[in-house]
Amino acid sequence: MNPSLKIIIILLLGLELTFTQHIIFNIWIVLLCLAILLFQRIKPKALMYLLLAPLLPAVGLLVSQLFYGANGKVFGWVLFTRLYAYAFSGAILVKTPLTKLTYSLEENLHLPPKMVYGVVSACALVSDFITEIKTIKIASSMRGITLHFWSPKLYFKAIIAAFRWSTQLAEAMISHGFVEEGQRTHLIQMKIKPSEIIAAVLIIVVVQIPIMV
Amino acid sequence: MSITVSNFSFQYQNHQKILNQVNFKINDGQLILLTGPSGSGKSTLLKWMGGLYPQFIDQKYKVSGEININGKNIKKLKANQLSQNVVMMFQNPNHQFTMPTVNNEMIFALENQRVSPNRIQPIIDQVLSRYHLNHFKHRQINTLSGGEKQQVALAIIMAMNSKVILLDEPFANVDFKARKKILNILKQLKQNGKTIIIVDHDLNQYEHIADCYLYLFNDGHIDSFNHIQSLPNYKWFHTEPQSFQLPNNHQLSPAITLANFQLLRGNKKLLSVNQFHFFMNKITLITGDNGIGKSTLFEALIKLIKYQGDAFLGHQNIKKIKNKQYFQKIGMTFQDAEDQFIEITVQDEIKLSMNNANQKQYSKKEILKWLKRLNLIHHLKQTVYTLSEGQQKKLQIISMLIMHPQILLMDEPFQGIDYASLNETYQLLKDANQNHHQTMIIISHQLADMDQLADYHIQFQDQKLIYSRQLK
Repeated sequence: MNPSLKIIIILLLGLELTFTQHIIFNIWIVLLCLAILLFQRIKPKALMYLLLAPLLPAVGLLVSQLFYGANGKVFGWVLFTRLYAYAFSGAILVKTPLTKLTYSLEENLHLPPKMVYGVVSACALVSDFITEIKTIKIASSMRGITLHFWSPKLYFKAIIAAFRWSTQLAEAMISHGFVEEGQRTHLIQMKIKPSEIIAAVLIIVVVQIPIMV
Repeated sequence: MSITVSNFSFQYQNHQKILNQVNFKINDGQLILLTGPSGSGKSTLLKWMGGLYPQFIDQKYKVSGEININGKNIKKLKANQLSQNVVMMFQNPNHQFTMPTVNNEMIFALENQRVSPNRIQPIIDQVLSRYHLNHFKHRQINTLSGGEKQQVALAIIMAMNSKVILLDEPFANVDFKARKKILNILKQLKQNGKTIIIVDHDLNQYEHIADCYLYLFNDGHIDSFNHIQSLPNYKWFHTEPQSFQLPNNHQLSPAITLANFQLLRGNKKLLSVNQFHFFMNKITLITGDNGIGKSTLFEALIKLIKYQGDAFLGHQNIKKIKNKQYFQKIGMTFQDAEDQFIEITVQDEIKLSMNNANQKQYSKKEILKWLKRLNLIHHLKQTVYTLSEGQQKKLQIISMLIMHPQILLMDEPFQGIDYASLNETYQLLKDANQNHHQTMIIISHQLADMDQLADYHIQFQDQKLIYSRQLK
């Protein structure tokens, strides 16, 4: 499905989740998303992560509601399942290739290219950034200083590197012909097909089943 | 397209002039080599010609004079006119790409050029196959080596088909063979009427390709030469072959030993040795083609990247030494100087080393003497990030020598140091070795008079490290 359409569905569902206090509805969304993820052959490790990562905040919400909340036990479980519903619906986007998302945001949602390509190139820096943090730590150790993740120096150095890289990237984009307000052609035409819109509407309707019955 | 630079001067406020009354003209279809000492402002000049400046200058500056492309002032060209006519390739192969794969980056560039969609893929395929780069098409860019990235960057420039091509040290990470190949491509492009300007420190192979040579001096003025032999730095490329002794294993104690040691980059094997020793109290030079894995070897030795097999410091496996203790014993001057610095000012940087030194080997008096000899003494209050490349290198070296680790790895320590300071820097290293028993392992492309400095020479080639008598 068109990535922009996916984002719109997820945002709409997210909004609905926020204003609905319905445990079955939350669980229904989790199950639907799980089915899609299994269909996309999500790796067991990634699935475990998706199940475990929200556990601590979800339990936190649950416990605070059970013991201290004014809205009762049921609301605690609503919050608990709601958090999982958010996490699972967001995970649907993970399998969407970044470039496809880029093209779609630019062509379908008409986001400024400056913003779209800026974000894409920044994503490419993540792995460099991890190496840079390691390098900074090693360079400090060699001078008899141990930097921990709470050391301001580590962040200061990391920010300096980030500034340097961002200028390099911006210069490189321009030298590859990118003009901020300029027109561009598009090799891959990201059209939204009528069938996809129908599918999107159906998905939103199907999701409402627990509320309707 | 012709380029005319007239009376062009540029400086950052409260700094000396980087470009001083620069005048030259490049005709349509010429290939020009722009050379000169590091830090003299070659990249700056290129960025002005490429229209990146003043947009990307982040401090106050003064500029005067004109740059014209085909008779039109570059300031008056619209961004898209400029991008259609002038492309630039940068020194640092990292952070040059927006998209994740080679194919996507090429699409990005051609879309920017407003090439019609049905022509984009044919152009990409044609360029890639013409330069034998088809196997890169769907590669993730961050899995390519520095040299491979440079080749891809060049392919993109070819695909963009601009009339003026500006290349800032395009061969910094490319080996001799690839360099020859690319220079031939540039020769063809020149014959097709492109105007090309290349910044390079290495003068090899330009003799029959370049139409004219520009030399940018430290004071910011430019001289133009018709013959490569007349360039002020020509003699540095015709040094006599140097010779070194071979180590006698029985009389020396090993500093670092590699055992069944293997180094990979992606799936490519860079180095494979059964047993190899670096020796204590010696200065050892490592040379080898660009991209062969010299820096990667250092990165493995400081535990920044993984390796297979074992490395020993003396007789201790380095995997079993805790980081804190390990980095007291092994130090490094990083290729990228800014990775080295911890403090903000030069004097704080020096003080930090004096306070935390593993062994107090240098007296305050001695340190002051060296700061004077290295011309750093008047920069003590300056921010380290505003020093020139050569000054940063000298500061790196002296800070790490004061720390006095057992072994000091040095990755391109002489880059950007002008020839006058180079001799003093050699003296400093010799003094550290002879009077303070500093063991040093050096990677360097700057090879002038190396036999005066280094005890041994290791040739890194064909995935092997071999002690070698000769250095050509």
